Amino acid sequence: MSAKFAGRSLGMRMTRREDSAGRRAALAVTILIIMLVIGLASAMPAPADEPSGIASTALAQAALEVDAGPPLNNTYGSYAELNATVIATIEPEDDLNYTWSFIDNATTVTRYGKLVNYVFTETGVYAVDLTVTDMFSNTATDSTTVTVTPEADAGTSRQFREDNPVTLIYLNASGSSSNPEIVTYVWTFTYDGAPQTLTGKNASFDFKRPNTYNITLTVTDSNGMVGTDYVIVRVLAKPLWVVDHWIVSFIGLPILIIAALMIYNKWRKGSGIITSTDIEKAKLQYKGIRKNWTIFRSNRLGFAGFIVLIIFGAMAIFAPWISTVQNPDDVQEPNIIVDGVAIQLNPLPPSTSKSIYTGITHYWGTDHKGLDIYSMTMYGARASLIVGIVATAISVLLGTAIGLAAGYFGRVTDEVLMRVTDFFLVLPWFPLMIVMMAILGQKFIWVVVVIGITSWPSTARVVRSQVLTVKERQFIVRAKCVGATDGHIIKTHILPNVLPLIFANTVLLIAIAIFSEAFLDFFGLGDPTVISWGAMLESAYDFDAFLKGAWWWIGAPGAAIVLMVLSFSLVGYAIDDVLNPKLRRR
Amino acid sequence: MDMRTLLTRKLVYVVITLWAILTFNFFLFRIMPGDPTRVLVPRGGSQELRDAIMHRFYLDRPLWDQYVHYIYQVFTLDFGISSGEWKLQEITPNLVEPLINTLLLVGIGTALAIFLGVMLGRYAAWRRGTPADTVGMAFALTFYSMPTFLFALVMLMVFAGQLQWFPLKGPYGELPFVANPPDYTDMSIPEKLLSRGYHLVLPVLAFTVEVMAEFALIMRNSLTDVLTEDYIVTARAKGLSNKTILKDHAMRNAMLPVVTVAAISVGWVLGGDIMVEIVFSYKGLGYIAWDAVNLRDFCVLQALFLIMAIAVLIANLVADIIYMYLDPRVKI
Repeated sequence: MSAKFAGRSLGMRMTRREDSAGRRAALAVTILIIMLVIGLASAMPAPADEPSGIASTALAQAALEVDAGPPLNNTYGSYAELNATVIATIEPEDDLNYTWSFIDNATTVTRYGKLVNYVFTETGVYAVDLTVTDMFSNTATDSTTVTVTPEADAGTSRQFREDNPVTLIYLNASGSSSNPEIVTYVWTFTYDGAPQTLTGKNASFDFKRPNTYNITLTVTDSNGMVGTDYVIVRVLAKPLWVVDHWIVSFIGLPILIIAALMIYNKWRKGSGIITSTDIEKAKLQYKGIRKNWTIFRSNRLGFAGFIVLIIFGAMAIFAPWISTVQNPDDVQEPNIIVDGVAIQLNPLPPSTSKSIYTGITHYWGTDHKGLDIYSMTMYGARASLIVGIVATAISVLLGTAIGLAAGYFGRVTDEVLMRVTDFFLVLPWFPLMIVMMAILGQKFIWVVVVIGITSWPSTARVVRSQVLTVKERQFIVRAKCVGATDGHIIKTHILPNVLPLIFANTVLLIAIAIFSEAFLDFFGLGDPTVISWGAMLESAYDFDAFLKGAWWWIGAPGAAIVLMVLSFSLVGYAIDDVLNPKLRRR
Repeated sequence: MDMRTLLTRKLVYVVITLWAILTFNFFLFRIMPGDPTRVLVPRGGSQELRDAIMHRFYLDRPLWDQYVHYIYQVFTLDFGISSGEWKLQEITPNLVEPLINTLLLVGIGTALAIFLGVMLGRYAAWRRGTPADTVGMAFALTFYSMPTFLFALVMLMVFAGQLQWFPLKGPYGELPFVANPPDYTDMSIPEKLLSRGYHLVLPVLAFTVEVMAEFALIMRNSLTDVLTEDYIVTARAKGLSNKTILKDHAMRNAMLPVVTVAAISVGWVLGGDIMVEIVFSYKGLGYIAWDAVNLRDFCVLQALFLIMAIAVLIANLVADIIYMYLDPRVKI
């Protein structure tokens, strides 16, 4: 920020210097011309009864010229800025006497100074006269007009999606003001190709078609003065299903493709889609899972973590139904101050009674904008879980692929891939994430991708070491002797032996991914349009929540992050327990 | 494979990785969006000025020439000229103060965290299954799961904001029980130390508690593993005292994973702790990095990246060597 700021201040200084230089040059030229003329005049044979002083006075008078500025347009209640520009003078312009006079509210008002700010008490068109006097008592006059129009306020712009349950938009012009009173309010815009006109201070219209509506509010007061303002209502088209559900598509599509390939493979081999071997396999797997589940349940902490995670999952899925506000970003409690006395100032503490302004019960209070903390916390679970799971999926895929290749092929491949892994391992990854977010831009998908591709090296190392031990086992050597290809060995022998062990690591990675997401959001590098716990904490930090005593503002998202990361860690350790029999003994 | 071959090989790896980091560092900041001259050239600057600045920063040369120049610069410890915080100043001398600040904060914090974490982990593992273990591990797990910035934020708001026991920000400047402290440059040396210590308490506490949790968890895990080994049973059967078993038989073996993590942590010391430093507005390297990102000050970022990466690289090398010394099996 300071670089921009420095540049700007540098720019300002430069223009100012140019300005004064220009003015000084003009002054110098003027004086030079005057002296030249005086010199010529004095060199000329002067008439006996005319002293040269009179000539110089006449010249000075000619040199005083002033401009009162262009006609001004002001809204009611704002300062009209009257600024005199001196075109020619022989005196420093700050020493001149400036007098502005005009009639406001049937009385003559006089103001002195080169720059005058004045608030007109009523709307209308005013003629303003400027008189400038210099030390020789020479005067110059100019005049300008000020048009004061009523202040129109069309309210805040809004944006929502076509499939929003409520598309009826209330237009509210109660922020408009004028003296004398406003008599008509007219809203005009184009809807569906046809011009639409609404009248009244409060108007409503049902916007069903996606488009950007530029709504112009025209107010007229009893003086006949007209003020305008505009408000933008943006109705977004419902995006394609794939775009709207990109996470489902990203995960669902690969699963579908893999399933289709498996079925195709079976079909090609000529066996039925479900053979008796498959049933046997499924039975065995079911038995194994039941056994593991019993062990998992015996780990009380892990089981508790599991239940907390289920609750968080439910929170994420059912957020719109369990939260008190449909779109937590849209419904705000207003800050209300009347005559300098605060009737209501955000953040609001937790309460069980309905707000009289929005009709929402803020069980967990609000933040500085008056947004409901409870609903935001519910919605925040979505961002955390999605980032945690998808980013980890990316990093596990990358890490497993690299670890497998390095461990299985060994030699040069191993060397090169491990150097790459080491390289990524020593890179300072928090700064790297920050830089990558700065390069890519603040989109939610980039948050996911950046976390995914900065956290794979640990997976690669774990997978590699596992592959190294599995590779030396007898059955691999035998498979090689029979002539199995590398792909086949990796697919049927190595992967099934390695995957269970990286599973626990994966769950722990999720915890780190959630942590990273909160970090990025906290430092303002996340997607500003996504509700997340990190972003909530960021606003709490920026607006001094604790100094305002707003513990709920930090407490809710903070506790949510800690609980979620803790649960993932506990579940991860428990799974480790299940899959590593050696650990269970202790 | 003997020690020397192994060491040589490690050194070769380090050099290769170093080169990779240098190259990555060079190209990463060349693909960053935005014209660097726009930051450097004042608004309304002429084309000549722009050309001169491009020339000064070697930006008018072909890419390979820039690359060679960059490598040369790095080896002469010349990190170029800042376009942000220290406008148009040499970066290297400006990095000294943040470096000292960071070393103080993260250095003290890391040392404390390793020591306390190992103690806590050892205590919990030795009394595993008892309430002491449960409480200790619950403490460690909670702080391990808590984002550092959140804990730092709570500390800042409670102890500096609400209770006002400690200063709100900065690495120095205020003194305890002194309403209007003199300028830092006018302070006597004990006063300077006191001022620094006063400002360090909260950040170090936040950092230590967060990092300590990790060490406690690793130590406990590793030690519980070791305590189930047969040689511990043997030692017990021999009638050795608990103290001897823990000190000479269990801890020696259980320290290995701790050493690895400790080495990486020591490597991170130079990186500073971005979260703690930002929350406490503590001008260390992490804070500078954050500033540089916001100001798009690429030269500073490049320098910081390099310093951090090299520190981790060296710490890893040292960890490998210590590992070889502690665990002779590694050599084979």
